[in-house]
Amino acid sequence: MPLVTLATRAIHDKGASGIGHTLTDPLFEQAVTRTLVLALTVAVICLLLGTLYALALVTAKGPVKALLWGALLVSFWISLLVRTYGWVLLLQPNGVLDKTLRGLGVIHDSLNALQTTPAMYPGMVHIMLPYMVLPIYTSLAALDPSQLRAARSMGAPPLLTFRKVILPQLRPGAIAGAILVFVLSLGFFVTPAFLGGPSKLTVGTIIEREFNSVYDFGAASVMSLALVFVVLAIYLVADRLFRVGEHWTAG
Amino acid sequence: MSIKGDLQDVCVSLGGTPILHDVSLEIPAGSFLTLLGPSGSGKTTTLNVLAGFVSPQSGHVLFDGEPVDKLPPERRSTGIVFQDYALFPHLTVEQNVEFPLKARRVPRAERLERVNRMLELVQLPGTNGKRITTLSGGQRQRVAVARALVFEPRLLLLDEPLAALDKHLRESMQVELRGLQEQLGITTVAVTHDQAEALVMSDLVAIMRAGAVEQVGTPKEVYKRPRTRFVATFLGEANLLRVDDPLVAALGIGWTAQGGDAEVLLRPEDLRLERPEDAPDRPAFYVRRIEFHGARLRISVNPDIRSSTEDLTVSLEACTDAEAWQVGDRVALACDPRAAHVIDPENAAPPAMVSA
Repeated sequence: MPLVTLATRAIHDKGASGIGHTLTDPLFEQAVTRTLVLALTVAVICLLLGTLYALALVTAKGPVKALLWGALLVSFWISLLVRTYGWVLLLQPNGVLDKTLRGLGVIHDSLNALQTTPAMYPGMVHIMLPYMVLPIYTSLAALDPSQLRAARSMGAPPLLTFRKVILPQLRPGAIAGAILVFVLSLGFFVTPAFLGGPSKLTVGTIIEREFNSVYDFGAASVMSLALVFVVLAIYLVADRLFRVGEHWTAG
Repeated sequence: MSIKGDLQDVCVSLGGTPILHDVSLEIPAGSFLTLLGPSGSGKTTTLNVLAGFVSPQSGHVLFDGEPVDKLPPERRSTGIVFQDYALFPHLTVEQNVEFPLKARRVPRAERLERVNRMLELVQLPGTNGKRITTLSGGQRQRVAVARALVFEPRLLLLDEPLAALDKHLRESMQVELRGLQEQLGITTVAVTHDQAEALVMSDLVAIMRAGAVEQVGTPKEVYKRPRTRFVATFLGEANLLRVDDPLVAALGIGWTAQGGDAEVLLRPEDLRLERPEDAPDRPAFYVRRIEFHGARLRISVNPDIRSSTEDLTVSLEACTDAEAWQVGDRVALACDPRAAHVIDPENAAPPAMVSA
């Protein structure tokens, strides 16, 4: 239903040429580029950190393991807004980051870190990381421990076992996590809005602005539909890729 | 090239629970020894001690007389076939078999040559490029064997290697595995809970119970001359009679004084049935049950047709002669007294583990 409403709204308000106009609007194009770069970078960073985190989750023992799980789950449970505000407090002028760096004598003036494009990254990574860790962890947990023993008994040094046995088998989880993070980041609104501010628009924030500030419902509809289609296309491609991945994990 | 392996008074406990108690084993060079026992008897732990995955609290592991206690698994040079094979599912057959050679930095050309030679040996030539997931259970088993042998390990360890195969395939693989082992002359230790498998494949069988070795011997020895009641009943079917049972004398079995607790072992195939009128001085029994097992008949007999005491089991070749017996028939029981074996109860007490 909402999709139909969006489509009729877009066609009714804009017509074919209007749709073209909206999509080639430099502001929108800028936002798209910024969003793509953001989503891709966040996905890659999360991939690296997520793999490390998942490995740590599996290898850690006792209280360290509990702590790692706790940190992961707590960041899932705490509201998105609260976590984003946390980053605002950290990055804002005279915030924790400024004070610490000034205290250390690294800087003298405020960094003015908030409401810049780079400010979006740490927040986004923080919020997306759990979506990456869990699928990778699942892959890792499914790994048969006797394979690691087998590798050892055959004389493999740990690094070889890691490269040739563990990493390749993390692939399905890593692919799933990376796609999830990428797609989520594409349409993400709250975090870019708070940390990036009104001048550093992403697709999510520009749609909101067209809707709530400019009242151009037609443009907002066109952009939303474009986002929906892109996400759908990525999902379909990913599904193909993923099935290829499943081909060799299936029993 | 083959080496002998030794375990000397190995004790293992995990988290305070004793798992192995004073296990000593001599594995002669080039022989095939099977660790046989019920689950929880410590046979897999014994294998893991040999492989180096479990370090004993006390005792020693020797390869060819040299202690290897300090060597980690990756430096012990043991080829292991795991119960679930532990093949790498993301690699091809060739990459799997090649893995131990890669770990040893063998040059590529030599690696390929050795992989091919090994695949031929396990009768899977030309499967190099196949994915593990496309192979059948038996083929995976062969790949696992090839991977365990390709680096010419000092010891081959098999952890329930045939448990995942169906009965038919298992029997042919037993013969094949044994043939391969003899051909390569590699000292081999296998773990199984399948007594038939142990008897067919091994030079020596070590029967384990509650973390200790009850008896080590050739398959014939442990089957015909078990040291304890446990070994007698674990391996095949056993009729056990107390030595002071009048039946023992009636069957003509002589025994040297070993106290009234000693028991006489009579294997079902050592017993015969006769017509009571042909053998009036033989002990009389009733046929209570006849089972047809194909090649053999399994007949349960009892001195009293309604008795609740345990039946004796007689195993006969299923020839026309034997099929003359009917349930309810009166029969005379006979045996070759030389086949009877007396078990000394002194051997039975399993060491120390009970209180722990």
